Amino acid sequence: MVNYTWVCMEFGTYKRARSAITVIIGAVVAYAVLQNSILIALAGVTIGLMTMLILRRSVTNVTHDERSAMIQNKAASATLAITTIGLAVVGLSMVFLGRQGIDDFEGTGYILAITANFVLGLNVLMSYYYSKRLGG
Amino acid sequence: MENKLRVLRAMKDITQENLAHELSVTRQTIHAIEVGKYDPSLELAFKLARFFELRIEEIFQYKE
Repeated sequence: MVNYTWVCMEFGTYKRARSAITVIIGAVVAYAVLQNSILIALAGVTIGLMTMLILRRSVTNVTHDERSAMIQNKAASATLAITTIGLAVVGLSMVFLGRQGIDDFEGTGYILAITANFVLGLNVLMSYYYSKRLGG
Repeated sequence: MENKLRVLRAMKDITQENLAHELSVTRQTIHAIEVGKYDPSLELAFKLARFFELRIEEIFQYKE
C-alpha cells in the first residue's frame, strides 16, 4: 500500500479540493470538445480522478464507519427498488403504447423491461453470493 | 435501546469528535448513538465499554 501521509488533510479540505478538481475536469473536457480531441479529455479525466484518489487516501479523519456503511446499504436498496420498479412500469407502458400504434415505443419498452429483469436477477445472484460468503 | 453515552462522555470530559477519533468512527455515529437513532454493532459496543472501562450493559440498556 502506498503511503500518502505526505499530503495529510482534513475531510473538509478534501471536499473543497474535490469540488475544485471537478470544476477543472469539466473545463478540460469542455476545452477538449471544442478542440475535438478525445485525448485531452481522457488525459484530463484520468489525471483528475487519480488526483482525487490520492487526496482521498490522505484524509486524516475517519470518513467511513459502520453507520455510514449501513446508510449506503439502505440507500442502495432503495435506489434498486425505485429504479427497477420505474424501469418496469415505464417499459411496460411503452410496450402497451407501442401496441396501440403510438410511435415506435414497443422496442424501447421491451429493452427497459428486460433491463429491469436483468438488474433484479443480478441482485438475486449477488445476494446469494454474499449470503454464501458470509456464512449463509 | 437506551444508553448513558452522553453522561459518560461528560464525566470523562471528552468531546464527540475526540471519542469518535479514539474509536475510529465518525462524529456523526457518536451523535446518532447518543440520541438513540443508531444502535452500534457489537464490536463498537465493546470498544465503547473498553474505552469507559465498564461492561456493555452498564452503558446500554435493552428495553422491550
